[in-house]
Amino acid sequence: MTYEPVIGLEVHVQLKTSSKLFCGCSVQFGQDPNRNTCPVCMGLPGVLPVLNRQSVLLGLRAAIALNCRPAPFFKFDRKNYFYPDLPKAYQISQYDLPLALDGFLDVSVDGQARRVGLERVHMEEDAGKLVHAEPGHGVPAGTSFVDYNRAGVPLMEIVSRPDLRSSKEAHAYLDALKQIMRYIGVSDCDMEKGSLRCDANVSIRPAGSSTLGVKAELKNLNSFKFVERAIDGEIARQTEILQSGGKIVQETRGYDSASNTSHAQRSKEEAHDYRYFPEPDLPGFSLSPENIESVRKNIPELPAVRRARFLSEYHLPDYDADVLTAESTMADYFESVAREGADPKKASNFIMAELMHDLKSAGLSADQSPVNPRHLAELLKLVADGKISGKISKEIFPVMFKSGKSPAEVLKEENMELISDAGVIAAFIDQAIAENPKAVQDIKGGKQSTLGFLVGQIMKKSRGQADPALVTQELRKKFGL
Amino acid sequence: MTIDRKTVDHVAALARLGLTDDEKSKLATELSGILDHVEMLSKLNTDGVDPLYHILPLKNVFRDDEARPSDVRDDVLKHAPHARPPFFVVPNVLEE
Repeated sequence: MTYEPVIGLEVHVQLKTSSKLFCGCSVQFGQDPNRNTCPVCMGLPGVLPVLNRQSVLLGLRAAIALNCRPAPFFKFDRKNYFYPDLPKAYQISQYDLPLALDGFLDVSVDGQARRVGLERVHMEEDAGKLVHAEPGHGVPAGTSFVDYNRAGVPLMEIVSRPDLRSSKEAHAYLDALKQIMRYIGVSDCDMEKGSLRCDANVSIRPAGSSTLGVKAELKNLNSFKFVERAIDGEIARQTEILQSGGKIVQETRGYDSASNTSHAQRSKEEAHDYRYFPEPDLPGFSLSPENIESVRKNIPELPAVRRARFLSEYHLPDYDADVLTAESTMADYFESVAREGADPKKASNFIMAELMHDLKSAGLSADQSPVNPRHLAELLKLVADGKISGKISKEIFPVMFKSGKSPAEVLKEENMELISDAGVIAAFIDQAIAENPKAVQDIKGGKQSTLGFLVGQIMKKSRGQADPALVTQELRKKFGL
Repeated sequence: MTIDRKTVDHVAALARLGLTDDEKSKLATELSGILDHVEMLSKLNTDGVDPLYHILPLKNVFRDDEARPSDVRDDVLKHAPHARPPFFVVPNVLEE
């Protein structure tokens, strides 16, 4: 029998705020353990959580960008479970009246458009971090260390419908989600810093069936690649069980990337008995249509729309539009260069070949580029006007990148301006003719294509600084062509 | 509604409460009584009454997103049952 995988993803993204969800502690990453704590997030008696306004605005922005219906009224609930990463023994989350419901995300898988349904978007606080005893780690055996810096950090959970049918689709969904969240400034979505986490619900069913199979929830997926691998492994595991006449058990499985396997996490079933109830310390929240409209108005152009505009407005190929709109900072940079009058395709080529490479090596994003868009436009104009060769432009670009200087300044300092003095060029021509008797003979014998070879030799001698048009013209004159 | 011993065991386990047999029996009776008392509410006709989510007539209480250091860490660590500053120490919770 053939089986069809059914996959749903639960993604947590950290909302990009300065302070925690219900208290004024900083959310700065990499702080000394327990430095970012206060009586509220450590759950001391007598404290009162107060909701961070910015986290609601960011959550709302995300919900709208994901085509969800923002709730006219939402509230928080306590999710009770006993674990040392949770100082209050409950997590403040949202249960029956979340921030937003019913959205979708369009993703592209192998060039095919797929619409993935979203069930809900809700806000909740993060838990602390446990450091387990490990040899050489300094944690005594039989104990765990606790760091509450992350406890109370604002998270948004985005729950997809079970609409995904392959690990590849899951990966594409995550890529699209991350891109949008970064575009609209809701989250950095940096998995290494814990600002994006993903759990996958995976089940299989006989192809063509419309009922859902028993699912396993995969946890500890630390990269998009691992999400893909863990899902593939789970599909294979479940298929094997069903084919050998076994039954799937609903369970949580932890993925181990080193061995590329997953293991049932033997939490007792009762651990899922969260006994949700309304959080009495927080009143409810209502959003007026005006509130929602003002958030909607401030959402920047989303990646898919921007990509389509790059195709139509700048007549760029698909590939260029994809690369340039992957990050909004890069798309902004490109548009600034184009606005300064550069030819869009030439600008795109130069950005993809030179700028992106240098930014990557320097670990910078486009908005941090030492070469400002106006300087890049000037450089491209010098090439377009024949003032410097393309080769020179590539040579001086790293200098511009290092110094932040304009192309004119760099050309002057490096003594690299275009040679358009006919006398100097004539000297290069004579030299090239003397050194390449065979080529000269070929040209005289009527083989005009060899002319290009000589032009190349002359350009080389001039270190790319000779005006190629002038060289060709003078060379033709010399041979009476 | 009656709370039986099984339910008491379950809830006690969830809350990590170690109760004696006597305490469990007593709690089963008391909790049943409390639920019976509250059960009276279900006899009322609530058609046309909006659900109440919060006891206070408050809505939309926010704070601005400003980070303010609290600096209570060392004091709290001092009062923790077990600490190895800057960490709190708890019994190993790695699942078997």
